[in-house]
Amino acid sequence: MSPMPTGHEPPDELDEEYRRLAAHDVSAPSASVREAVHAYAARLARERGDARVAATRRARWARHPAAWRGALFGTVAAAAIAGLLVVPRILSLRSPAGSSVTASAQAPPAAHVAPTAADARYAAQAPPQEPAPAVSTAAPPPQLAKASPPHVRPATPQSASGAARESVAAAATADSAQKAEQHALASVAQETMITSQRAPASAPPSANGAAPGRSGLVAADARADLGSGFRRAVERGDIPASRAYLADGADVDSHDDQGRTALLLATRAGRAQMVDWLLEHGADPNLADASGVTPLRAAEASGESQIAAALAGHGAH
Amino acid sequence: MTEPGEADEELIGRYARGDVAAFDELYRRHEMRVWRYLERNVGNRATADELMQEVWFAVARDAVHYRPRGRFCGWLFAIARHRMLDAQRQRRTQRRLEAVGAGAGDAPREADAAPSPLNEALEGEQARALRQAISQLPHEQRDAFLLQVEGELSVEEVAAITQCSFETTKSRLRYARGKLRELMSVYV
Repeated sequence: MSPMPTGHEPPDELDEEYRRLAAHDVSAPSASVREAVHAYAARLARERGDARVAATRRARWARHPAAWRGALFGTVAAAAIAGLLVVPRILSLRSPAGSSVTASAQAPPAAHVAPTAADARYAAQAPPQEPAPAVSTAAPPPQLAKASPPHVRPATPQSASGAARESVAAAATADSAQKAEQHALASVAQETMITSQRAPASAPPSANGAAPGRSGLVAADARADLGSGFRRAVERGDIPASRAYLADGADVDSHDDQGRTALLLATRAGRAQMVDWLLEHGADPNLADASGVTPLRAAEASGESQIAAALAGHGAH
Repeated sequence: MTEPGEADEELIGRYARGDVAAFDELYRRHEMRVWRYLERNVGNRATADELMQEVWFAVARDAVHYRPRGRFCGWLFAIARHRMLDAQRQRRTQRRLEAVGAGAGDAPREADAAPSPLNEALEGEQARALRQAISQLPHEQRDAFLLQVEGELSVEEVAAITQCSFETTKSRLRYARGKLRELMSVYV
């Protein structure tokens, strides 16, 4: 009981009499009131206890935001890393020709041949290399080596890899051409080293433990003339090698003896990413082959709607 | 676990933190005082029961908002008085609508229509005389007197609860005691 406040009037004798008589007063609240009051108070206390526990949890999280933020960011970062590692492999298990053009569609136009950020992105997102065609310095992946027929090169004078160097030398009558070839060889060799260091795991090892297929291919292509090597690199979707050929002087619109440009070959191969890359590097989308087939018609005929849209976006008609 | 000498203010604080035993102790301490205050003011046990429940429900509900600016008893009896006045106001409105006793100044107190014979037998003659004397006090005097004797409140506290000046409250208390002495001298 609380103490009486100071300054209270002295107890009146009537008050004392009142309290004495009140003690004998038998009137009292009914038992149902008592029960209802106690039950209500207990229920409120329970509800407050539950609310207090919940509030304590919320306050704990609020006091230590780093706890949940760290966990959240850690989870997101782990998911992002896992996605970066897994998604390219999943895409590689699908059709290499069906790769998305989203990245290329968003890429800003690049300089003609200079390696750019867009190139780096293409290189990072490029589908893993196809089984290497049969060349002397590279071997296809074991699972495809049995099924794949020996590679048949396009109808060019430089069909045999052993004769490639001789053919190039014969074709290059001027000193400048020879210098260009030597330069191309050196740069492609450098590209080979860079590529092998950049993605050693993505290149399937050859059966005899030789160097990855693309390195050998690039080196072999470099021994052929720049244009045909460029077109073959384009046809198999090898953006780094294609970039190296352009850097060494290959014409982005070079064509074979049937008039097929690299862009047309990439279109027929269904390589949307390569088509984007070529268009960004200045390929003419309206060059038709000897029979008059343009890249746009080829894309429409083969149902490559993404490629057709990309070509149309660059003025193809 | 409640301590015997634990202050009411500590008990209500403990109940606000979830200690139901503290509330039970508070109820035990003040049950009869609040009850007498209500019952002797309204003069009807059923109405007093209703008010009693409302008052203690309000105490349980508002315990978390209780701030010990004054004594717990002052807070408790202020709640009781507000509830009682609300109930009387509602009844007065109802009676006015029924054209029974409308505009008759002080609302006539409701008396138990038929007090049980058992209660009649148990109540002592003096206690009954006191109850009758209190019931004959004017409303304001009765309210102030019961607040002071049941709530053990000072004149200042009664004045604060009834929202009257100190002097007015003191006068009401003085008149109430004078009339009670007069009435009690007849009965006792």
